[in-house]
Amino acid sequence: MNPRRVVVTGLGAVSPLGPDVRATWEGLCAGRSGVRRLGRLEEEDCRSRIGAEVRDFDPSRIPSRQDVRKLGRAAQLALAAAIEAWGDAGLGPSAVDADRAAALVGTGFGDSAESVRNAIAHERRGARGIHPLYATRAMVNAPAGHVAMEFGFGGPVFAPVSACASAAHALGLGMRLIRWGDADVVVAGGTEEISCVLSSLAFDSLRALSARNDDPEHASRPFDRARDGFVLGEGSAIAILEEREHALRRGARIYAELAGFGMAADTGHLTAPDPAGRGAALAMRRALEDAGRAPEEVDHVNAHGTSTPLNDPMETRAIRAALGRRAEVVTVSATKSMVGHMLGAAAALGFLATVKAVAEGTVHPTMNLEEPDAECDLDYVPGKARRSDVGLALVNAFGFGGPCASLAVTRAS
Amino acid sequence: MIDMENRAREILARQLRTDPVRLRADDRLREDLGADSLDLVELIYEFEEAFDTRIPDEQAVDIRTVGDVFAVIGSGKAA
Repeated sequence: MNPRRVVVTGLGAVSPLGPDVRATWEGLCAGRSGVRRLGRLEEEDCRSRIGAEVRDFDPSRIPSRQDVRKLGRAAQLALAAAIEAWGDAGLGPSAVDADRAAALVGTGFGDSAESVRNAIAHERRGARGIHPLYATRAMVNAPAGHVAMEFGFGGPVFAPVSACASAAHALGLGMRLIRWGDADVVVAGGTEEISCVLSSLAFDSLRALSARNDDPEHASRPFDRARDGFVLGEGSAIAILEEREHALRRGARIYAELAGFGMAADTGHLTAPDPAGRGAALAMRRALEDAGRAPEEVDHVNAHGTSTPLNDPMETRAIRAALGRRAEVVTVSATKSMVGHMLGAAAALGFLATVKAVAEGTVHPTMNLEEPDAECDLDYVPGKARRSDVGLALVNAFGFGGPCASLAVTRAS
Repeated sequence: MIDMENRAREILARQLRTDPVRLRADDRLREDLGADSLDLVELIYEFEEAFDTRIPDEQAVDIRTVGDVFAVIGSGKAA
């Protein structure tokens, strides 16, 4: 095993369930839904009129040294979550060599809504309508850049981009950076925002979204027979990854260890997964191999669990393929049943929920699972959180374009 | 003219995070008010928007103080 091990020492979140980790985790454990009707979609000729927004987010209250008004919303959300995580880890300027600190913040679309706004301005007023900050807001690495600027980092800073697996790649590569010796501390996670109607309409046109408009809180129903698509969500979750000896030396509180990362691809189709879940299973197996652990040791899986017709049975088969008989006893939680699909931030929130599960011995429920799909027959922790001794867990994330990623989280030792 | 100056003060103060009434004509944007290169580009954009004018590069580079801003927007040279 690589002598440089990686632990989680801080967490931050801004989600449809609240402005911080506490509200988000309590909401997840209580089975609260963040899905609502979206007023801006009422006048649109579209199928789905719902989403899981971050409500009442006031960027001016972010305790940042930067002028946050100049940031796009995705960057603002990431900055708020990163500042919470940094404080949670107890990292002051003297506790870390800034040149050995990195920021990896993944996103699916980032602040690409800035392109829409500038395109409209250009249509109306030509070149003079283009805002001087268009480029620096819309660039996909803007959230990572602003996080690194906040703390004055001198190490690696970039945005891993793999659609709905982006945050998993940020966390996994963050772990690798520490193992490789490129950094001692990595601020890693993901962010996504959906304030522009085109975010919803893009997936609506693809017929990927749930149209359960009259019952939004029950629209995201992973593994349930009546699921009819995913619900778009937004927010950010950030973790502080730290080299274990570094954390021990400064007496940091350690939540869990990020012990393994597996990457694979499912490239038979741009959007539809391989029905057998070959790529998904390969990612899970590789994460376990990377952690030096066996399938029989896995206690829990934080599922990608999107509530789409194709994902959920595929993922069920993939979990069986990767874990064998152990699949019959592991608990499987779908975070998206409450916060929707936060795209490039989704895996970061799934990771946060899994780190909390390991640290606190509670797995959050999968909500709205009333009548399981015949092909979805694992223990999805339906309806109610459960006390559970989680020593080893996997976090899954899959994306359009083929990326499959899995993270192995273990109890701190 | 006074209205234009007040509007320019508001824009400067918002961009540079200071109080509009504290801005003096001889305050230097960079040295005294902490503007960086990106701030200056944004300010030019904001003035062009607010006063429906065009501030060419050769004129923009001469804007060093709050008074220079008042002169440019009030001079009529900004066309």
